[in-house]
Amino acid sequence: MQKIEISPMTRLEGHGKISVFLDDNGNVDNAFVQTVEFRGYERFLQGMPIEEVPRTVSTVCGVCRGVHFSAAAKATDGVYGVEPTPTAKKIRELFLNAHYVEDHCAILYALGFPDFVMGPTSDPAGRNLIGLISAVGTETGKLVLKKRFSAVKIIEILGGKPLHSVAALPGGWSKSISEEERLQMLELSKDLIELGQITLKVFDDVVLKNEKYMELVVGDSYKAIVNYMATVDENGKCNYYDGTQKVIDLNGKEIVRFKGKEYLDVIAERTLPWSYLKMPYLKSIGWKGVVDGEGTGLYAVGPLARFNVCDGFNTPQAQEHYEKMLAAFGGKKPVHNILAYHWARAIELLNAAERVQELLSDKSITDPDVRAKLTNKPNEGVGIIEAVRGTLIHHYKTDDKGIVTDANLIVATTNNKGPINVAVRRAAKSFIKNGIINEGLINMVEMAYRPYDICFACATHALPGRMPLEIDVYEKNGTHLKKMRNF
Amino acid sequence: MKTIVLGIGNPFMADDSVGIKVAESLEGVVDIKILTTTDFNIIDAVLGYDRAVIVDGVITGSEPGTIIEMTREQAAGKSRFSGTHNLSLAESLRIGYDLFGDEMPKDIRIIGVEVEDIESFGKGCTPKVEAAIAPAIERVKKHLL
Repeated sequence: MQKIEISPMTRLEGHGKISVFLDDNGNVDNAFVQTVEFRGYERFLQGMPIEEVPRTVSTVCGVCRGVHFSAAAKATDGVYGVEPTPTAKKIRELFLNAHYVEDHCAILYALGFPDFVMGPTSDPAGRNLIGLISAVGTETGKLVLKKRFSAVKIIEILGGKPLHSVAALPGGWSKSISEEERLQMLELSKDLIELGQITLKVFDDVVLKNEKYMELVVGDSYKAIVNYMATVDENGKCNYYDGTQKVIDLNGKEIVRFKGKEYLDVIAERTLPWSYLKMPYLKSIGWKGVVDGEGTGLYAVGPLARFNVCDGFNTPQAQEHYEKMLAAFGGKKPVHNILAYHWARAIELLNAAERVQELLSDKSITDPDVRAKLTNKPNEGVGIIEAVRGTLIHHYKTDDKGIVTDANLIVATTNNKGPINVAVRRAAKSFIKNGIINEGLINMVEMAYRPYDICFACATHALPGRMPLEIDVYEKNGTHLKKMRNF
Repeated sequence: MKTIVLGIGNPFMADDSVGIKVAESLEGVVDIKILTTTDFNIIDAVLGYDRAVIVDGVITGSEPGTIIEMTREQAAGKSRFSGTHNLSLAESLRIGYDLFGDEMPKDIRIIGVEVEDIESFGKGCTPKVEAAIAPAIERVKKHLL
């Protein structure tokens, strides 16, 4: 048989690199996570009609397509100074929640669970989704993928295309939902709820009932003690599509709330000598370095940040699991144990599924009034949503004909850059001792960034696809000791 | 025989759009689907089909525009799984066959076009890759007979 090596295929950009530096005793002195940044998409969008932007940015990343689409859609509303109709808002929220189910499912089963089911130090050849399926059984694997597909079908019905939706317009949505479609999606939503329940049961069986894994979840090796940012509704509950952005400090005290363009008053970015990707921090605290603990200006976003910032979830089953998770951490928030990201993620999957069903149970979602009239000249708009991986900001300026003159995207992986570095450094210091480095230990270090589900494609605004990562270990004198790569 | 052609790539990234261009040219001739990711959506797309042809840009070190064909086993390369945000084509197909063997296509071929530039923004391919589109379409058509 002819042997053809195609590793890597295209869509390789967004190469990640972890550099670990040892001291004289072979213990970890420092560690850095680096990415290569391209600002291509922001430039590419300049000169484009703002209406084209949501469907164009949905190609920023093949995985995160729904969230860029949603944030850009909200930004186009801002550009035209228009409020979408209530029905359009419901459809957009429905779309985003269906995307959450699909995306969280993929992350948990492909990325999060294998570390626990197969064991963190197991052979990497089996520590993957295929190994996971062998462990939990093909029937469960089949069930999970089939039920996840129901979320994809809902996205297809709403968005016009299954992967890169086209239906968003400034002030609304291009097509209304028929009663037949509503009933079809309502039926599909049962699969989503079951998927959420199955996923939490898998997490319960595999992680919560395993003392060794729970030690990792609640222990000190996987921690980043930082501030948190997320979006809350008027009741303080978690909302992915709309609300107010709230920031709390590492003790849980509210620092600030903001909306839209006010993000510029809250977030600043620091250029670092060892990375092309700028590191954001809270302006009110100031830059204190890549450090966690009291006084840090770093903040985290994503499922655990939402768990920490929000006063629970807006659906009953997710709320029940939220309370269970809170109790597991002694009823205290914020939780800084980053492996808890996976737990929060599993709860969010169920929350999004419940919200899909709620929205579809309301017949008013079939109202044909899905687009507000545009009466203002286009100018500038900011769209902020809770992307699956955390707070996502799209900011556009246009000329008076609606042609984009400036674009700025702050994605979850960028927001999380500080905590990711802190978490990887702490894990490296915990597990690499006396110069002993092996694949199992390296995976224990990698487990510190996986909860954030780093999206280099988004953060670097480059090509979507498999995210190559290499780890280099150096002695104190700079001698290169070891290289490990996943491609 | 129920057949689908999948075009994979990014429509706005120069040569990365080559798979999409090949697949789109066959619209109306055969079922087609455009994907910008190679995760579980690959499985969703091919389930229930007897035959699937997947067209994508590849980097093998060959002359840009070179067309290669491979089976899914050959496409597996030396993939590992640790630390990914996404699944590779070979990983996704393997999961599909492991879980849904009978529902997956009996016949699956992967056609790769060697790319030159996948970093520049733009809807057009570089000249050598552009010239490979017509032959790649013919290669796909041979599998549709």
